[in-house]
Amino acid sequence: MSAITIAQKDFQDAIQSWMLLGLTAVFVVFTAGAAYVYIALGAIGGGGEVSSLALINFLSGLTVFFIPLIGLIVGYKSIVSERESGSIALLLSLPHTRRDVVLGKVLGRTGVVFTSAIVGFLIAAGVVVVLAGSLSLGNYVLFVLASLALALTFVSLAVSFSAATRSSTLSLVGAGTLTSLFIFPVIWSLIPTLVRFILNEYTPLTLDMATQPEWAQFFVQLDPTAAYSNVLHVLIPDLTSGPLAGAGGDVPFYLAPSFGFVVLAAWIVVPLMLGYYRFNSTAL
Amino acid sequence: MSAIELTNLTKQYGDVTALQGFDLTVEEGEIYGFLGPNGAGKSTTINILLDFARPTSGDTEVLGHDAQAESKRIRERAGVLPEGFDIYDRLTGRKHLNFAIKSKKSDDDPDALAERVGIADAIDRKAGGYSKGMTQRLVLGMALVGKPDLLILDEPSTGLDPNGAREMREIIRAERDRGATVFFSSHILSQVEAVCDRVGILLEGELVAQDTIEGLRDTTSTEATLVVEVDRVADGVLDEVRTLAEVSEASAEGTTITVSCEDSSKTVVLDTIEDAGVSVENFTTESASLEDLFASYTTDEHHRPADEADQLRDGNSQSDGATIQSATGADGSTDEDTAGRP
Repeated sequence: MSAITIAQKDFQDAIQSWMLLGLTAVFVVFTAGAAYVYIALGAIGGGGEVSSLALINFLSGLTVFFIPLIGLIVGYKSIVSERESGSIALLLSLPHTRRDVVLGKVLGRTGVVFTSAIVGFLIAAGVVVVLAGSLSLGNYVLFVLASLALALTFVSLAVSFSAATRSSTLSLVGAGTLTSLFIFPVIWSLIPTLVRFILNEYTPLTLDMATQPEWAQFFVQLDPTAAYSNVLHVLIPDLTSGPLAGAGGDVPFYLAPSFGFVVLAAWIVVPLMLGYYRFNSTAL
Repeated sequence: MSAIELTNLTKQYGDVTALQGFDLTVEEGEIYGFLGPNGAGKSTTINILLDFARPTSGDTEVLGHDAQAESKRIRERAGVLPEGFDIYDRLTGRKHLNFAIKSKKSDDDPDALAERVGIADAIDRKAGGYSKGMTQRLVLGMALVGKPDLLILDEPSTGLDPNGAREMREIIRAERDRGATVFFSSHILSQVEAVCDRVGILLEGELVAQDTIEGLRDTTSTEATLVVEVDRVADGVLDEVRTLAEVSEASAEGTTITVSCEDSSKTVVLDTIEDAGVSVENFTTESASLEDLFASYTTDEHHRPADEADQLRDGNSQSDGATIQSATGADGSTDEDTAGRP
C-alpha cells in the first residue's frame, strides 16, 4: 500500500528531525504537568470516580486548545514544503498517486501526533494514579480516544491546506485562520450572531444557545472543538461539559450531541477531499 | 510498440505556448537524446510524461499507457531522474534507496545499487550532506530500482564531474543493453552525442529534428571546418580558395583563415593557400559535431559559440596542429570543455 510507504518515510523523517521527540516532550509537559498541577492544587477532593471526571473535564479544557494547535503545526507544511523544496518530484517519480501522497502524509503526521499524545497521556495517567491513588480507566481511555480523534481532525485540516497551496506561508495562513476560529470558540459562536445582526434580527448579546434560532445553534455545532466536547459528553455521560449538555428532550438529530461524531468525521474527510482535488488538478 | 509516443503535444501557460503541438516517438530499446536550449520545453515535456504537468491538448502514451489516466502504471515500470528535485536531507542514502525499493515493490539490494552508482561509502550518511554530484548519483540509483523498462533522465549529468559523467554514460549504455529504453534530456551536447542512438531537437516548443546523429549530419552538413593559421592573408587568397568546388565558405580574421569544406579536400585547400604565396603555420580541422548541427537548427545564421573558437585556437599550439573532434572521440575527453556551457 503506497500511502503506508509514504507514511513510514514521513514518520522516519519526523524521528530524524526531532519532531517526534519534541512533540512528545510538549505532550508530557502539557498533560502530565496539567494533571500534576491540578492534583497538587488540591482540586481533587475525595478521589475516586468523581475526581477522575473532574480531572478529565479539566484536561479536556486544555486539549481543546492545544491539540488543534499541534495539529496545525505538524500538518501545515507536510506537503507544501516538499513542493517548495522539490522533493515532491522525487516522491512522485516513484509509483505513488497524489492521493497516496495526501493519505500518506495524513497517516504519517497523525502517527507522529498519536505517538507523542499517547506517551503524554500515559505519563499523565501515571501521575494521577501515583498522586491521587486511582483513575477511572474506562473513562480516561474514552477521553484519550476522543482527543486522538480531535488531533486527527486538525492534522487533516492542516494537511488539506498543505496540499492545496503552493506556499507554506499561505498554507499556514489558511489553516491557521480556520484553526484559530475554532480554538477561540467565542469567535465561531459569534459568527451567527453577527449574521443576525447584519440581517437586522434581534440579537441578544449572549452565547446562550437556547435563545438562538435553530440554524445558528446548528452552525455553532459545526465547530470541531464543540463536536469534540459533544463526543466526550456522549462517551462519558457523567461529564458535565459539552455545549449541548443542557439540551435535552426533543431536539433534531443535528443538534443532538451524538451529531458531534458526524461533524468530526466531516472535518476529517471533506477538507482532505478538497485539498486533494486542488493538489491533483494543479501542476507540481 | 513505442516506449514513448507523443502526438500533437501542446502546452499553454496562459498566453504563452510552451509546446506547439509536436510529435515524438521513442522506440523500445533505444537511447534517445532530447536536446534543446534552456526554455525550449524539454522539462515541460518530461513533466507531462510523468503527469507532473498536464498538456493543453495532445496524446501522451508511455509504455502503452496514457500518461494522465494511468500515470502510476507508467511510474511502476519507469525509473526517473527528475529535474529540480531535492532529496530528504535528514534521511540517509540507504533510507532513500529503501524507500524507492519499497515504493516499487522490488527486492533490490540497496548496497548493490549504491555500489553501482558509486556512493557505497556514503550510503549510511544523511543525504543532506551529499554534494550535488552524489545527490545526482543517489537519485540515479533510485531510478534504477526494479530494473525499469524505461529510464527518464532530465539533465542527468548536472553536477557531475567528467568522471561522473562518464560513469553515467556507462550506466545508460548498460541499461540499454539490458533491454531498457533510455530517454534523456540534455543541453550538454557531447553527452548526447556520445551515447544516443537517436536525438530529437526541441526548439521553442517544436521538434525541429528527430533522427540518428548520422542522419542529422547527412541532412545538414557533412562539411569539416578547417582553421588555418598563416603568416599573412594575402590579397586574393580567399577568392582562390572560394573557387574550389569543395569549398562552400571561407573567411579571414587577422592571420586566421576559416574554411568550410568537404572533409577529404583539406589538402587541396592548404595547397591552394600556399600556392597564393601564403605560408601555413598551423591548422586544425573539425568535423561537424552535434554542436554544429544543433547550432544550425537553433540559430538562423551559422553560429559558432565563443568557447569553441577558443578551443580551436588552443589546438593550434599543439605540435601536430590538428585536432579532430568526432562523435566517437568525444567520449569523456570533452566533458570538461562542455560542462560550463549554458
